[in-house]
Amino acid sequence: MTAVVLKSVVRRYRDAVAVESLDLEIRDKEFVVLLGPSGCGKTTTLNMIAGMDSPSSGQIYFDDRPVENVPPEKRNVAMVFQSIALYPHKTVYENIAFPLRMARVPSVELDRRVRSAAGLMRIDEFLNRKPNELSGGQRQRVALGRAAVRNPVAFLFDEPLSALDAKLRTEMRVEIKKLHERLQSTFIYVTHDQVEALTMADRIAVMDSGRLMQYAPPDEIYRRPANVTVARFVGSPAMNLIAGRISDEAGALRFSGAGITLTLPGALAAAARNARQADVTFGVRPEALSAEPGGVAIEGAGKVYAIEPLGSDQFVDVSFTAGDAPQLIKMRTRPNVRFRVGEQVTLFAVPEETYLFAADGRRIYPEGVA
Amino acid sequence: MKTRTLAQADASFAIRIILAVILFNAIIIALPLFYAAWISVHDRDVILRTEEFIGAEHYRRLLTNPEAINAMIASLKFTLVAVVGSLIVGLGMALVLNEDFPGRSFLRAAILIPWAVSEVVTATAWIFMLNPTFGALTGVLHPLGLASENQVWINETTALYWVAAAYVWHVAPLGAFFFLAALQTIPDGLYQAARLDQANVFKRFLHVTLPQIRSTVMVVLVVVTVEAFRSFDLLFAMTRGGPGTASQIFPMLIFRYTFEFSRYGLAAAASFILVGVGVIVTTLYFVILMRRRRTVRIDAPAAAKLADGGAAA
Amino acid sequence: MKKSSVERATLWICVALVAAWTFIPLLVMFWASMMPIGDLVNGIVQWPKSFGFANYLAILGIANIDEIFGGRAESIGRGFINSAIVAIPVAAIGTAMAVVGGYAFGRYRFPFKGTLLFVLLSIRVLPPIAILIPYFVILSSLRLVGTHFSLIITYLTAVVPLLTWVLMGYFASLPIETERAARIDGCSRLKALWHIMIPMAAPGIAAAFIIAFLTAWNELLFGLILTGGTSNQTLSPALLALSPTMPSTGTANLGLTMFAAASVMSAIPPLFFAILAQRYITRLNVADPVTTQGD
Repeated sequence: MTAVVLKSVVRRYRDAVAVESLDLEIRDKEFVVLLGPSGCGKTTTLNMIAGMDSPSSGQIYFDDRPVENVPPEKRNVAMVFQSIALYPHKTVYENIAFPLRMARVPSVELDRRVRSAAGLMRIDEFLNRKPNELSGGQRQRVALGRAAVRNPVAFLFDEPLSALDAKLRTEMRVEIKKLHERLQSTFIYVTHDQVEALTMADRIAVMDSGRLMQYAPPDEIYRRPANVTVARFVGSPAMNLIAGRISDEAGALRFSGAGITLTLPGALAAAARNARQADVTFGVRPEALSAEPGGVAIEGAGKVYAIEPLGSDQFVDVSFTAGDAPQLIKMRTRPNVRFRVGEQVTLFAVPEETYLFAADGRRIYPEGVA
Repeated sequence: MKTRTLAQADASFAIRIILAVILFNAIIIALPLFYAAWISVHDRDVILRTEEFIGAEHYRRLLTNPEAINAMIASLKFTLVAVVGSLIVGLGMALVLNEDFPGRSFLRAAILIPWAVSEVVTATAWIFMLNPTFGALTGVLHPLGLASENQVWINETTALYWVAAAYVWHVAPLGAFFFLAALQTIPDGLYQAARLDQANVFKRFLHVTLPQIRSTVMVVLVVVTVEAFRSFDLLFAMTRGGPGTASQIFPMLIFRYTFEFSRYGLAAAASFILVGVGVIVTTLYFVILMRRRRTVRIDAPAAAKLADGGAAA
Repeated sequence: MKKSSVERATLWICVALVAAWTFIPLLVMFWASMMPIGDLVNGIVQWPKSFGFANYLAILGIANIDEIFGGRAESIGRGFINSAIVAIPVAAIGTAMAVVGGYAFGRYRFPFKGTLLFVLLSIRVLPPIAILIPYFVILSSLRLVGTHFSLIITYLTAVVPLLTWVLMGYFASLPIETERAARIDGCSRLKALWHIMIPMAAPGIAAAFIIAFLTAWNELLFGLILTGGTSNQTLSPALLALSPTMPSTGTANLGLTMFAAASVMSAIPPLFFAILAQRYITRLNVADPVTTQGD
């Protein structure tokens, strides 16, 4: 039962802390994605799992074996890099065979495994070529083959798709997911692209500024973000977040801020009352908004500011304040609904899909929801 | 259970592998240097086989000896001419080689030939040009009436400068290569923008090219200065310090102290003076460099910093 | 960027100047070497009666030559061999040491690194003449004067700091992730160095080898002092001793034309390496690791 466990792992540098007391548990055969913006500590964490770096304090266990100071060649992990990092002077065959040669695998078995990995990644025809004769996507497949040919404790991925163009990225996402199913092994994947995270992960660990923000399956990350950072980062286009205050008006809790006011729906209101927070941030995703009446009404001088037709959808920015930098709320609607810039519009939000965050960023969960 | 971090293991590895190399160099260089220092403060009489401690006597004598002072001045003059010449010629060659013309790659390879041949061959080639009787220069200019039949080109006033010229011929290609590499990193866009701003060739050179290659200029400056100051072989092969002592640079004087006069103590002391002046000149450079630019790098690029455990992502 | 015809004409003039500056001294020497064997009574600038490789053949001992010159030419041949015996080990060992040093300095952090680097660079400032006397004394007391070994050791001292500096920059420019990939694939640091980093650094290593070889091949002072007049004399002292322009050191000279030929011959290995080096030295500065990595 191989698991990777990080306990209170800290990585400190002379003038900054890259990772702050991280506790993470990755189950065997799980596909975990470390998601976060640049500088959040996810690559540092991966490097510590890989053995390229040691934690300043804390422990790392591979299946109960402490490995935090074990050099990488003894950890038996495989890794795929953002820069692909193939050996330029070796052929594709030799690139894939290299880890096996280092492990002194006998030649018959070595050949079988190399060819099988090459077949799996569909690069058999390139076996005699050198990396500089291949395209970016082909090279990345060779890198995947080099990893897949082994039998490691875990497969580590450091933003492997960032160097590829958009179309290739979509294809490779599927390939990697399929690889995971095929190999039935633990995958630890680092990325800043939340689409990759949402589509591939069993669980996502959202990180920011060296801390773990939330660790949950994609659905939960998306629908029940634990704090404002996660809410802001996951979802494209991003969730609308408006800072404001709560006031009690004749028994109903009203939120007002940045040119809008609204009445908090039932469960949310109850939670807010109990939490006794006055300064809060209100959140609602674009797809939970509509111009058709029903749900929570967002009151204010809403005017259509910009329209982005995307073919399959339409995003409408509605402004609620005047001036050069107005408060905008983005709504996603069907393409056949027509809007005009400058037109007055009232927005309505689905009550179950509204969010409230306290001043410290933490989510105020509606009553009755965990 | 290993309690050492990976960064410590890295450092320990690095030290272990270079230990042998460092020790080798340390012994091979430090020991003779200490011995030379010892010799420089003793008076050795080879005939009487005595050795007498005289402290800084040799140094004092050298610092007041007119021949030594002239030799040092000659060294400095030589170095100055060599450095200025190498910079100009090297940069000029690089600018030309940076342009596109048929035969460019051939010329780029050919440029290295003067650097690759020995200083002895350099001396030979230039002597074949400059010799009064059979030299090519006389052979060309005499029929044109611009020189007498056995025109002496290397005389007392010109000797040092001819050697410096030969030295520039020998060393400039190296500078040219540094400059060429630097020139090739200048993005085309800068020149195009300058053209749009109506800048002619000179202005483009002054305002686009020069600033971009500034650090290379400094590197070449330091390297050529150090090399020219300590150079010996070329001068020895070409004039031996002559005619008379007209082109006698300091290393040449040291040579004569050692092999003509067998004054080993004096020679050793003179060597340290030479080293001292060299260090002063180099330090001066660094002081000026450090003040002008914060980030002059002549050694390992910043990539070395990344070798130690990855960037914070 | 089209050039005007004025610009193009200027360019060609400059190209011609560069070529002339580079080639004329060499051509003069070559011209002299192609003239009939003799003393160039009429100077170099003349149309010779015959034109050919007579001088070269004479030095190589292939053609029959005047008794006066015959014996002297042997020292040239011996000089070639001795220089090769010295230069090749210096290049090989020096490069090996510099690879290790350059790798460590270029990719690792360790205590005293700055100090060691400073010392390394300072060695370069040392004029060879400064350590000549102690070297001579120490080596003669060890009875090593006149041996190839003494020169090899001497040249190694001069060459290793320079090569280390050169390779340090080169190793530092190699991509980190490829080395990491090797470690992850099961290589210890040394195995990663051997299997991956050194092959990737091949152009830099080749350039270093060439620089070391040339330094040893061309050197005069120590060659002269440590092996001059012996049967192990290297090429530069041999040439110098036979130079007709030098005050005679007791050995009669070779005659101008044969001396020119000998000089040209001595320049052939450096020439060969220079052309080779051209490809590698550009890579040194521009830090261009072999092939692209993940465009």
